[in-house]
Amino acid sequence: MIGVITSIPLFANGILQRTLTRDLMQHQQDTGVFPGYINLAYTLGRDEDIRNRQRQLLSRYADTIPSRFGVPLDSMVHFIRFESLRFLDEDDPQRIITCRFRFQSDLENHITMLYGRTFNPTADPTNGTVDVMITDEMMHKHKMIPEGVYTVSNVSYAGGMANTNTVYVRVAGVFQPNSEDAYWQSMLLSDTFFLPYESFETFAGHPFSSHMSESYLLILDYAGIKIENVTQITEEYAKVYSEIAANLDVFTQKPITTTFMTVIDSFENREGNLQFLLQLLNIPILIMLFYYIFMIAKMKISDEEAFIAVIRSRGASGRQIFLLYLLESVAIGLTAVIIGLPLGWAICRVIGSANGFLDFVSRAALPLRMSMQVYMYAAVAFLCIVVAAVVPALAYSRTSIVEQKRKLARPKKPIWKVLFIDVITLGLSLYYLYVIRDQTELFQGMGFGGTEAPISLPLYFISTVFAIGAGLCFLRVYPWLVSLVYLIGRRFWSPVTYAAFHTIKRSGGTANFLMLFIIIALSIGLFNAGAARTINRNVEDRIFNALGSDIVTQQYWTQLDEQGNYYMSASMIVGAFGPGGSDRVTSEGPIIYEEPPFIDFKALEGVDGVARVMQMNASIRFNRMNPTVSFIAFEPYEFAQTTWWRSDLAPYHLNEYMQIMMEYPNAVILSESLRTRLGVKEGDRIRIENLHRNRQMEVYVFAFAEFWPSFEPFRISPAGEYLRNHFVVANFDYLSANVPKSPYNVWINKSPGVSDAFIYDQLAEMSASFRHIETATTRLVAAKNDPVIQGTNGAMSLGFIIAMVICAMGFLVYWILSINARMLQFGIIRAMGMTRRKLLRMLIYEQILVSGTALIVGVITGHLAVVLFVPNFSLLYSGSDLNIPFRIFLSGDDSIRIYIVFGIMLLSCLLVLGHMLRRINIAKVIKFGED
Amino acid sequence: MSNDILFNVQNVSRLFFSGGEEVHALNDVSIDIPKEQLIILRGRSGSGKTTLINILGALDRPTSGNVLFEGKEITGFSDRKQDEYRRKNVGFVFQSVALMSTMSAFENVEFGLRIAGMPYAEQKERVKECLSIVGLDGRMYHHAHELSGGEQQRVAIARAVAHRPVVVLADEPTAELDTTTGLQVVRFFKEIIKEQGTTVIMATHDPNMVEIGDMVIDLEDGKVVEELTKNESS
Repeated sequence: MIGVITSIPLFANGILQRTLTRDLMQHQQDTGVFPGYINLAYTLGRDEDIRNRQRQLLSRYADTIPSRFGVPLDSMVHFIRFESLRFLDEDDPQRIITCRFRFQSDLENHITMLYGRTFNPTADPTNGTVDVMITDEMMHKHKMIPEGVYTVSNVSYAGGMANTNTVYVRVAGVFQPNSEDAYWQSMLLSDTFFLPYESFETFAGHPFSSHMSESYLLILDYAGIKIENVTQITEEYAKVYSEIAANLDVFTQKPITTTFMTVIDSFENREGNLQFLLQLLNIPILIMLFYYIFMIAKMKISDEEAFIAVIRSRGASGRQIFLLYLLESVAIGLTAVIIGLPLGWAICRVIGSANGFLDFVSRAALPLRMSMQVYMYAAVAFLCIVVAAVVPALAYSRTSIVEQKRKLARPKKPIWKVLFIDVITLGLSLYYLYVIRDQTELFQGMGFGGTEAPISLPLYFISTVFAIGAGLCFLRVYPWLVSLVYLIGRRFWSPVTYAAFHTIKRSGGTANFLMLFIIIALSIGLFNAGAARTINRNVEDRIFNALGSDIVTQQYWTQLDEQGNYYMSASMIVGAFGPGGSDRVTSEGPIIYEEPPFIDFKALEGVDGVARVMQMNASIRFNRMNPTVSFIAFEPYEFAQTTWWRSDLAPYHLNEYMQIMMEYPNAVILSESLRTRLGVKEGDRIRIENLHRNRQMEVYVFAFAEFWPSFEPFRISPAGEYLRNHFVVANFDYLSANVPKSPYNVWINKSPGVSDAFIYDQLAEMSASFRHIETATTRLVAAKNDPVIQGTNGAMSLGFIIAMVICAMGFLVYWILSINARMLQFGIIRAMGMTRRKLLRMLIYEQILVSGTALIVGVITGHLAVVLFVPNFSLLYSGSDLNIPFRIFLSGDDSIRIYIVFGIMLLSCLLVLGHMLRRINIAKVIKFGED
Repeated sequence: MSNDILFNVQNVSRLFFSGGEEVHALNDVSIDIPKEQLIILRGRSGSGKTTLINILGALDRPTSGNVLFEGKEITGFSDRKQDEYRRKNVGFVFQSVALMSTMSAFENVEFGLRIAGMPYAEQKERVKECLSIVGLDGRMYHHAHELSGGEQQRVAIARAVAHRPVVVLADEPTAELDTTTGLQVVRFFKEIIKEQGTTVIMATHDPNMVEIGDMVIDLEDGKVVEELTKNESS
């Protein structure tokens, strides 16, 4: 129990940490900049005192910043530059090259020497020449040679007089800076003479040092930046900045910069939402657990009810009894915590590798850390357990034997029945559903979506409320149902069924609890499964639909002008249709494209289909209107073999459309949006304009569709509005007949089980090279790594598993306890001559009536919950970029899993039962009862 | 003479192991129990009377010795046959009533009849009849927990005799009842013996009961100490 509860914050934190690290890495990928730099750089003043003060300041900050920020320092580079120096090119004395001196710490370890030697560290500028090192880039740029001696000078002013100061440098060594080494923040080093770090002191007071700047480059182990430090970082950074601003010039210079603050900032913004989301997802689980504990405690105590009543009558006070149970539950609670914390850790390990719903892969383990939050959770859980266990005790400790017997005599109607809580709950949840649906449709129409969408809080656990309401309603009705069935077959029931019916009819109480419990557990489990699978599938489908196929690529087409000479390309225009449109020449002369052999693609192994798909922007002329549309043309047969498709994209099956397009090459499909926009209908003739080389073609509209593979229904205008896109789908051959060839995309449909690499290798061997290759796989991986998706998958998987486990455990415990309680009864029945087997059968029938029905109801409720509530998630997860209809996916697998779990539960229960029954020594039992 | 004997108990011993020691609940007991009589098994607790009743009712098997029921040996019965034997021939009445608390008086007796396999059509009448015998006509449809202790015991008796068993085994049936009610119970027993030809074997340590039985068997430490028949009681 505690294990699960503690795993929640652990998991949430783990996900967030992973997100932060991933964000930083992503930043590096996007910008090419190492995300772990803190740079203190300053051009120092001229005056010596000021300069010293500034240098001390810089040095102090360089030392203290890492600990102030709470970030792990990997290493630090310290360098000093003398700016505004010049040197003369030996070959061309007229050429003056501006350069600088640079003293850099730890240089030798981060370079590869190409020529020469490292310098002599004791070079003295006043005696003869100074050894320097340069990069090979510099050497080539200025055509220098190793061991060459060059004259470096600057001009200084003193007493109104300009002096030229000279130092002779000898190129002692040429090196290449180690690429990929974070040590090198900037590689612009082709005008820099590197001098020995230690020799800096010898230049003190030297006129070259008049323009001096100093830098401390702090290199952080950015993967070690923890989410706990995020607030610290932002706060301290602000502090440091203002402290620096008080002492240094921050207006013309940037004394302190980092390469990760933007990432941290954006992360902080999202963190709040993410945390919240993850906690929310777990609410149903928590409810379930709490209920479970409560139920078990209640059963246990009602078992001991007699005991309590007896000792009360012997004089024990209510308080003593209460204390007794309190102690007991505290003890249990403590053990639970001790076991539970490591268990929670283990659970997180497993859940953290969730790649999809219930899909656990081996990936880098989730970074877990015991934070205050986790301990708090554990403490709260502990309290809850104690409370849950003790509350029933409280109630019972007040009763006396008399009251208790009286209670037995007149079973009270349970509270919930009296207050009609069931109807109210159910009603509430349905009402909420109604409201939220309206909202969802509204938002979707407006194009909201993603993490900016307003999350409706109750959405996450309203499904549980629904389950509770439905369950209670059913329970109210159930006894009547049973009575009905019983009465109908009154004549026929064997004693076994008879007894079973009776128990059910009258029992109420614990049996109800159990049934409700099973119903809720199953509903939550199924809902989680359905929601997760739906979300995952929709994310996947969205990606496939956006791309069109497994791989979409385009080759470079050689371009010839009219004379047949090669020509450089003009600008590229990307349409709303997928990646890479085709080139369009605007004002230059006519361009002729040479089509690379498509037959090469047809020869690919490991593919189920390849298709030529022209994707570009064009416009339609009809009814005096001329809207821009996304134009897509393909050869229907190829397309049918290649494209991704889902049955709810369009009213008819893909093949039917393709059939018509093949028979009538000049027939096209238009997007639904055009129907109203243009007032066009099936059978109308329209003209498509602005094709390659400004060609046009006349076509007939034969169908409309709302969606199409690779079509994005919305685009964002520069003003941030969502604007509708339109499309037209045409036949490629017909296009080719009317318009000269221009570059098209090639869609590739991989055979199942074939890797991208396999296809890549073959593509690499083709004659033409590729302008771009996009794969669904890359996009899928990126999507899967989204923290919201990850968090959802993890939480849902966890919820599902827990639901099943708790169901099984609750089930077993209930039956064992209830059997124990009825031992006397069984003894009597056996004494009356019922065989052991028959007794077992009686219990089985009871089982079926209780658990079996609960199972069925739970499954139904669960499915209902999915159908009713999951669509509202569409807003959060797919939002505006919904290029396909949001569809619910219920995996048959999950239902099967549930049945299997249930089956195992039943079986093991039967085994236990059988065993227990066998052991009934009738005589002993009855004797026992008599005590 | 032998057809007047219901049970032949021959050299029956029953050993229990308790706390590492052997306990002789019954030690080489031999009795002949006649039919259609009220037989009292008397003795303190621990004397073995419950054990004997259990063995007679095939709830237990002796460690050694035989028991013949109407000439047939029952001690070697398999579990299955034991169940059958009990179902057909025996009715039990226990000290702690043990009715199904969720059922009414009527349903409890009916339940017993179902187990015994009486055809449904006959059940209703028989139930009413039996409940009438024990004087509970008026409260037939009350739930078990709505009846007083005495009334509950009466229901138990009705249940025990409903399927017309050959023998009724009662283990301390009056222990939880007051004297008047207890005597009432015994009166019912006698009536049943007369009306239905049942044999009733009753274990008790109540001294008042001794006068009433047709035969008294005294048990002490697992051994029969004295056998008295009506003619011989002192």
